[in-house]
Amino acid sequence: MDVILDDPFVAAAHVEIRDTPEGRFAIDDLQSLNGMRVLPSSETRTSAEIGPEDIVRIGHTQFRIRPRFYAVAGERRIRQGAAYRGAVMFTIAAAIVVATLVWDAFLTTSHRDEKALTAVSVFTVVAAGAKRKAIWSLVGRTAGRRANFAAHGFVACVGVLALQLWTTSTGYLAFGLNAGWLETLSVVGAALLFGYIVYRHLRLASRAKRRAHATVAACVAIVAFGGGSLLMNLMGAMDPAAQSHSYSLKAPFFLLVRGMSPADYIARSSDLKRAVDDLASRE
Amino acid sequence: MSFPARLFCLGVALLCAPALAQEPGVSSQTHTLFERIRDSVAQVRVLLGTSDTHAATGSGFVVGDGLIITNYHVIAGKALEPDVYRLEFVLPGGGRGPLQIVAIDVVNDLAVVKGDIGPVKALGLRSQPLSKGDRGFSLGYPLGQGLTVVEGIYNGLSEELYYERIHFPGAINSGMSGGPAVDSSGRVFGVNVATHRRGQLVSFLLPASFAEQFLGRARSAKAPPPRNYSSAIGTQLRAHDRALRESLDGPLPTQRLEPLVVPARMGTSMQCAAGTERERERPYVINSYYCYMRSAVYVDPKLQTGTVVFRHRILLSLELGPLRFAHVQEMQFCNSVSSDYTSHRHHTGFVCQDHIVALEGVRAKVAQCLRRYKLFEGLYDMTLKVATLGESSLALHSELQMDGVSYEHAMDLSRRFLEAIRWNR
Repeated sequence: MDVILDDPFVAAAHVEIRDTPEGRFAIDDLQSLNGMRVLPSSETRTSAEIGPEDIVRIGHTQFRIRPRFYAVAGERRIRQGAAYRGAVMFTIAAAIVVATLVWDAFLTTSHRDEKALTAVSVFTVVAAGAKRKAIWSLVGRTAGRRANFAAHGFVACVGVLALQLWTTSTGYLAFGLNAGWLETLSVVGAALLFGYIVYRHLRLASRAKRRAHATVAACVAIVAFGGGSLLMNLMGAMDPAAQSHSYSLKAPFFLLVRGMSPADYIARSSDLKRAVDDLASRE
Repeated sequence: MSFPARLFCLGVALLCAPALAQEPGVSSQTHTLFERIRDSVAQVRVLLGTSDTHAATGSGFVVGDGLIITNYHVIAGKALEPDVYRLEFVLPGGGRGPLQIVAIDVVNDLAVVKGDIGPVKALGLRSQPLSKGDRGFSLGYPLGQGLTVVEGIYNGLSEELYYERIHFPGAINSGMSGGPAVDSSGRVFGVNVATHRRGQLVSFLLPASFAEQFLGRARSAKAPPPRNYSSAIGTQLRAHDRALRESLDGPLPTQRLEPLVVPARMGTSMQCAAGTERERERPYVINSYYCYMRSAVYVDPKLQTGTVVFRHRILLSLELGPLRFAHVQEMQFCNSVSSDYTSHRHHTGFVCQDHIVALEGVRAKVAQCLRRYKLFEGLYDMTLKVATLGESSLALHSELQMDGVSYEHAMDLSRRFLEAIRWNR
């Protein structure tokens, strides 16, 4: 029986396959131009004996040969394309991001003349984001060779919203529970989230075929984000005039917090004294 | 002219002659005084390393046994970095030579230095003060000029400074620090120490009684003077803090800024000022009340310490909603009173804590930061920031800053400060 492969790098008669008495297969190269390889070796071979787990490569085609009785995984449906690759989802996500930008700008402006500046700042952020997504979408292509601007845009918008939701919720929790460690967790979580956004972007681009490439890039992004935050904190700590504490009042969440007495608050200052005495003894 | 008219004019001339004759007599008295004491007024120079380049100059006066009294701030560099600087005196008669520090008093800004000055007449110190309105003469070497004498009027002790200082309206300029202020008989009644930055001819002198007591202690000291004065300065700053704490002891005075009650001016040596920030395009108003204690002690060009400062700001929203007003509060909470003097040499970094505190009638976000002095044991800078929460159109932001104080003093005043804030409902 002949099996014809639609691969221009496979010869008209490339290899011959025979059963062996041991239940394996013998495969011979029929003097092809590009040869035959048994992975993971990259060495061309003229003949080989292969089993059900061996992968043979001829041209750009890889295959395994298994007996009829060999158990294999069930057939999986081909994914038609994730819903988020479409323009509709991107438009919804982008609209939510713009709405949060406008709301944030409204909350943070307190001068009557700043309305025009607010509109300009929102427009500037949106334009910068769109430019980045357009550049990214030129770098990668989907398997169907369709423009994936919408997909990248959706991932970016969801990523921004997720980052905002994460930092806001951990910030409020840290404020309400007086737990400084939650603010550290917020930075760590933001770094991981940022890395995941980079990972999803790279997975969208078909050139990043190996998952390992995307994973490495995500790890680099995490380290850069986290390391950058840590470096800024350290630089601030080195400045003897810098007073680093939370400035946020987290309206209206503070209505739920009872508060401690002045005497209790002052009693906690002994921790400050211990810390600065340590600093002085080290310097 | 008729004979009666001539007689009249002669009579007038005879009456005026003594008055006219007095004017040259006044300036000759000053000249005589100046000639008598000028050789006893030295220029004190702080030189960098072995060069002849001045790092600082001031004045001083001879008090006998080779000793010269000057200001501490003139020789501060030598006191703290003895290997970097050296001292030198220059006398009008041409004498010149090295000086060593014998004793310092940072709180009163005095120093006694010693050198081989030769047979120079010592100036006497007046133990009794002058009377208000008496004339005095301040001598020194201002702004690189030669020995200069400046006339002024004794106006008694200043009512606003923390430590006793004589108010002496006279043109005392930079370089005259440490020079003597003498009466008409040449006795020293004060030591030039400072001028008011924003006032013309508003100068201050250290009373001679302080200099006399200090000189007595310096002469009777048994231990040899140290090479580096960091430890001595630390001891004096801690004593200054104890005096400050005693003066701030007791219930804090308060003032009503309805509906709030807040700490008010703590004693007569605290200066206060008020102001308001209103801008046409800003939909909120800030009324400020600022008080500071004029007790700062000069240590070196990068450090003046030993003070207490506090500020209240009332934020009033005109048309902002509660969430936007809360954002304005956050921005104001970032703007805080901070020390003008910060250096890696003197200070560690700040370590802070912040919590919600239940004050009387209102909750507040309170942030407290502390840092320690590296050279002076047991001294700290502390800032306390308070921002009331929960009101949609009115908020109080208060800050208390204490420099060069003990930890116990800082915590005690912080607790009383917080307890003095009240919101009447």
